[in-house]
Amino acid sequence: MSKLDEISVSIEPPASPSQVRAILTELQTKLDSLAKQGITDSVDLRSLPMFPGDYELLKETLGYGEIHISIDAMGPTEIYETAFPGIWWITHSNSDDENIAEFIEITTLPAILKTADGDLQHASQQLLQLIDNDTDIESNLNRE
Amino acid sequence: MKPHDTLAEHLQSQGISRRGFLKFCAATASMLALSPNMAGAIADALGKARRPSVIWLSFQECTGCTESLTRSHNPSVESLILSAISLDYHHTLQAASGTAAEQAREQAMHDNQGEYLLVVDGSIPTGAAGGYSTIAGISNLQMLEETAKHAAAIISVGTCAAFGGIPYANPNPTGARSVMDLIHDKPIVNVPGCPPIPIVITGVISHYLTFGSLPELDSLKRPLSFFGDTIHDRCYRRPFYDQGKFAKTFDDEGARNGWCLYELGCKGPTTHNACATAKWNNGVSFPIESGHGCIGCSEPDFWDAGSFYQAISSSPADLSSAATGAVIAGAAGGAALGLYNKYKRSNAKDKHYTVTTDDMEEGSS
Repeated sequence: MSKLDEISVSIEPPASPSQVRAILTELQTKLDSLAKQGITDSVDLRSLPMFPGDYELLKETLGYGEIHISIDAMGPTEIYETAFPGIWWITHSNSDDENIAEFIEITTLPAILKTADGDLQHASQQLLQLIDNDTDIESNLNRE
Repeated sequence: MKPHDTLAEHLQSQGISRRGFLKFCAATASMLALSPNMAGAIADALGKARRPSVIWLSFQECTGCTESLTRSHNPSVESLILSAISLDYHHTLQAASGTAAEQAREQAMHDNQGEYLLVVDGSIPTGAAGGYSTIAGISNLQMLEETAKHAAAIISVGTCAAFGGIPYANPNPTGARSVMDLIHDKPIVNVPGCPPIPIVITGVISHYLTFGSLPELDSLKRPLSFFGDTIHDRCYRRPFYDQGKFAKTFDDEGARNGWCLYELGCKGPTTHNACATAKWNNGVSFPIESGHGCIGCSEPDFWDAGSFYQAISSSPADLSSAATGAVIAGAAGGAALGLYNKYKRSNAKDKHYTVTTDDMEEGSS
């Protein structure tokens, strides 16, 4: 065992100034605009200079609400409504599970959840093709 | 990808869904420091974008800039952008070599005359008639001149291409020059940094793809969306600076408490870059967060600007700026908005006092 291991290391918690109160005030203002004027908005968490620990504190303070959704598109996206309805926490990751973007959205429903018009038309045609081609359905039934 | 596919068609052919594309656009908005509400508009624009041909020339450089780009998150926004362009020539990345490689460059120049993007990393030696660095018998200077001639625009990646960098440092034995020193008749964007942050490189390319134009630039031709603020403006340790709490050595109480590194030579107040928010190593941290001051690598002449550990010579009181306002706004409760919208603070930015090399030399003598 090297002598280095004998040196005890203790990590002192730093004094903890915080930006969290300011961010919460901002979210409250945006939530108020959503409630009164229907204005949706979002905050890019990467653009905020936060102290170490602020991110965790913000997450803890906003808490978790009733909805938690996973999207599998080019890697996982996790979306949940915080304990404050209308405030959603959205984390986009790539297929290596690395965070590529993170937002707080102030909205009644995050845009990424809605089915896109183009996809609707495409899906409708696909389904029609499937119905027209009986063998596809039969092969699925046989698989069951 | 076929040459004339749009980005949306290309992504669809790779099985990337509409939601995947929207997610990519949200990440692009974040990267370009645009409002996340712009993701929809970006999706529309990028969906219709045609991929440009890109010729990447590496001159007097260490390959750190290419490493920075290719070793970023993978696969991710950066790699998607790389698949959204037609990278027709890049010494380090292309499979072809020798005559075939040079033919690829000539072919790309011929096929996309007046439309291709030229990316340059490394400075250009002009001493000994350009003889200090040649590729396939062509001097760097000659290759730059002939490739720049028909380029739509030039992106100088890294401090060497942008400002001369380390090869340009005193006594500059090879007569190294920056791209903008040598080419005067083309739009040039400088993306300095040693190395530059990968998302800044791809950010400029995606801006070009999204809007069909180059981003708004500062007086040193750097994109304002990434270089509009100083490291100091966006530093999470900024409140300590405002409170006058400074680390005096790297192991004192101030250093342990994460106080401001100004007195230890941090060049954050005079350095424009996005490290404080974009961060490094997949967003783990940036130099100041790891306890070392900024060395100012994205500014001209950073290598000759005196010791990295010599405090910059201007008085702290002169460094009044946007972030002071932002911190006050934060205390009053508007930090998220106040810090988010960069463009609103352009007035405050104008009040910055820029410390020159001469000032620094004066201070250290």
